[in-house]
Amino acid sequence: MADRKNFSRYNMRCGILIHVPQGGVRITRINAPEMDSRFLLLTGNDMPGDDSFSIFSSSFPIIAKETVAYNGQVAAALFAPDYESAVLMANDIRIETEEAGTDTEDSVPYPLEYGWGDFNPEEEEEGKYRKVESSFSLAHTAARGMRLYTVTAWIEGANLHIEAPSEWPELIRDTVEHVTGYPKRNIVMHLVPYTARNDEFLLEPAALAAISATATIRTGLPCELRTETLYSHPGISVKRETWIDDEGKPASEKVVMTVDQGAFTILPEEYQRQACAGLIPPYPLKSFKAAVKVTTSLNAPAAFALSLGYSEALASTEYHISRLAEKTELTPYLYRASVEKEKRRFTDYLPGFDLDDQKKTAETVASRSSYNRKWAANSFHKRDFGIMGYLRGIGFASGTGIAGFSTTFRKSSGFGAMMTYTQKHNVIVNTSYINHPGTVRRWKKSIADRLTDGMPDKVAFSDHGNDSMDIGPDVLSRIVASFSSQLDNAAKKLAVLKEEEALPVSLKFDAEDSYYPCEFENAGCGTVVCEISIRQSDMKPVATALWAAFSFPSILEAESLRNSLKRTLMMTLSEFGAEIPMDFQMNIDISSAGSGGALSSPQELARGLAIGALSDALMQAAGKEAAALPTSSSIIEELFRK
Amino acid sequence: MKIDCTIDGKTLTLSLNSDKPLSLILRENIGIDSINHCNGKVCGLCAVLLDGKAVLSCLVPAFELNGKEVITFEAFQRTRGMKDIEKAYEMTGATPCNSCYASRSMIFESLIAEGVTDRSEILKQLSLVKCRCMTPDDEVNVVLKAIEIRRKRNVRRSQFA
Repeated sequence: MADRKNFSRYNMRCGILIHVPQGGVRITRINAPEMDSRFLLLTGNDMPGDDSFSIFSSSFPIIAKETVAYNGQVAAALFAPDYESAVLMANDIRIETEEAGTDTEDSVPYPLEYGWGDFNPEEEEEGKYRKVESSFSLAHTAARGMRLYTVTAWIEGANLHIEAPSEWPELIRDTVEHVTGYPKRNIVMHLVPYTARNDEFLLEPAALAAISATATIRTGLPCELRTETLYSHPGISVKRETWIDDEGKPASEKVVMTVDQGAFTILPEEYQRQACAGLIPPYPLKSFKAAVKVTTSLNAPAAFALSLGYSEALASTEYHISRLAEKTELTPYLYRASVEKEKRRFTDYLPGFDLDDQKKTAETVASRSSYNRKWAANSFHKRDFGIMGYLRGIGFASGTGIAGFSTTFRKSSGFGAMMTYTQKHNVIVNTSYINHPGTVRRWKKSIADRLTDGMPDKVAFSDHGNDSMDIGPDVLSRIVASFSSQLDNAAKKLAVLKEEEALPVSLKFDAEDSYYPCEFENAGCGTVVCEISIRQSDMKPVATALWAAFSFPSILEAESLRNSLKRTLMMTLSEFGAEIPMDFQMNIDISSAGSGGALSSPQELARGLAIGALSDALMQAAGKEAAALPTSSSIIEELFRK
Repeated sequence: MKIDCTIDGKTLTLSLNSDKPLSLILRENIGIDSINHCNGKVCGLCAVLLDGKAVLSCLVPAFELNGKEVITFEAFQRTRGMKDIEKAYEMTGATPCNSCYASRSMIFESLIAEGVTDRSEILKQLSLVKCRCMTPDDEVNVVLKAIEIRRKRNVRRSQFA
């Protein structure tokens, strides 16, 4: 990245965005007061090229031209000599709208259905099976956050410079080229450090960069656009029915998950596959049917928010297991121990694998937190504490993580690589893969250990070309895990070939070679127990303690992994409405299974388990309606008023 | 109004609206983009040292700056004080996320300079930051460790003097 030019702020234009609060309307007119040459108003019609940008196969408008697709969509951008003038002028701009029907259903894929067995418990003799139903929901969240950020564009010689925080700089360059027609080779990115805990800097900076670049080209001056980060999380609703026998063992299950991705969908098919993997329960069933539906709405398009559906689906499964346990009057931990087998069933989405490690993490956490005793005490007191209840809950969630994208996605995206051992005893890897600098360092080291006597300088990764994604969001980095193991296998094979064949010797490999026939590979497991109490003074849910244990196939840096997991757990509790008090206690245990397999997206697993444990704890403390997340004191207060 | 103040060691005379918040002065007039401005939502991501005490810059109006010294993280990160805090992060294994790193470090510095060791006082001060990336125990441990590191450093310095 080049250094930013230190231009005077007096010679630049400061921009703000003008939003339309209500989606599903048509813009009939934009009334703006007379403006002198110091001001510039950009609407959708002023964009020189195509007023949209693309991510994978989805396309998003940058500025609403006629139809406003979602609540809060950008309708115009106003540039002025300073922000105060821009805000004052924006107050005089009126956007006239009229009702319009929206038609965004085209991009929605068919529901994904998966299942096995044709056992129908409703046809069996009456009373043999009981039906247990549960519903789990996460509301769609779309809000401007508190973090203010700027995107700046300026021209210097033949180059157009863009300074922005971005999880995907290549997307910015593509979009600016697409919109302004400026050749990509002349667009220089200056990356601003950022933290995108909900993937806020994935899509929006690209749109802002295109607007700033257009303004810069129009005015000939550096242009800066300032806005607050947009956090948008998909709305999830999971309805599940399980038939259990006399002993409480599940026999048959039906589950329907509906995902509201907002006005535009991002990778909907992959979202369905990942969600489906999370919906499959760990216990054996005679028959199982799952359906994942993606819908659109007038909400802002949802970003990945650390997960492509697996976390939320896993949380819903964990929540449901606790509901089954309630029916059998066992604690969720003991119930799981009674219904889970030694090995998980092989499905099209996850391979069959031993549940030993997962059971160990559950045992560790249950004993450290005195889970069974507390669960029983809370349940017992709940019945005896009158109208208000005991207002305490302890939630349990235990599950496995997944590694990488689905096999289907990897086949369609065609990520491949070639490893060559040269006559000069160097290794060259050609790939169109994501090249995060830290990851490449790690890859080089592992290849060097096998092929170049531990000298990473002798391993080179080829230039990735214009089509590569450089630094993707966290959720895209998940693919790194599966690629790491492929690289390792290729290095192993090449170590043998270089001794047997004439140099140079090459090995070509791609995603299709691995993990067939399952969509995902399991990578690590964990258990989370969360204790909450509802503060009587304001009915606010307060997380008092959290215990967690994780086991991963391999651990590279234990301390940073521990930190990262801690953050994810704390932030997830906070995000879904639990207050973290000063005396909050967290106990986290991380172990390595030593199998050397892929470690992938531990944050996604931690997030799923934290949501599952929190909703379960809320259910115990205040009833099922409180478990619809995110919760708040007003929701809980309303429950007690009913 | 005209305001005389020192920002990151530079003595400045600024012509400003008297009620403009310090966070916006730093962003718009001084050009420090790393300071957040949350329009009074009290996100806690804009802490600076005002005469050595950590304050949220969005809550400091321009007229209060007259004759005061402001230190932002941009300048503070190059000092020995920050080295002590970084060492404490490393030794306790608890590091704030990138989002609140600057702000939390400034509040840590204020607590360390005052030598605050009382748990509730430490947590009260740190409650200014709304980001939930550190557990309360980690926050207290960092402050206590950094105070210990600084004391050792000061003792070494006085021995050599």
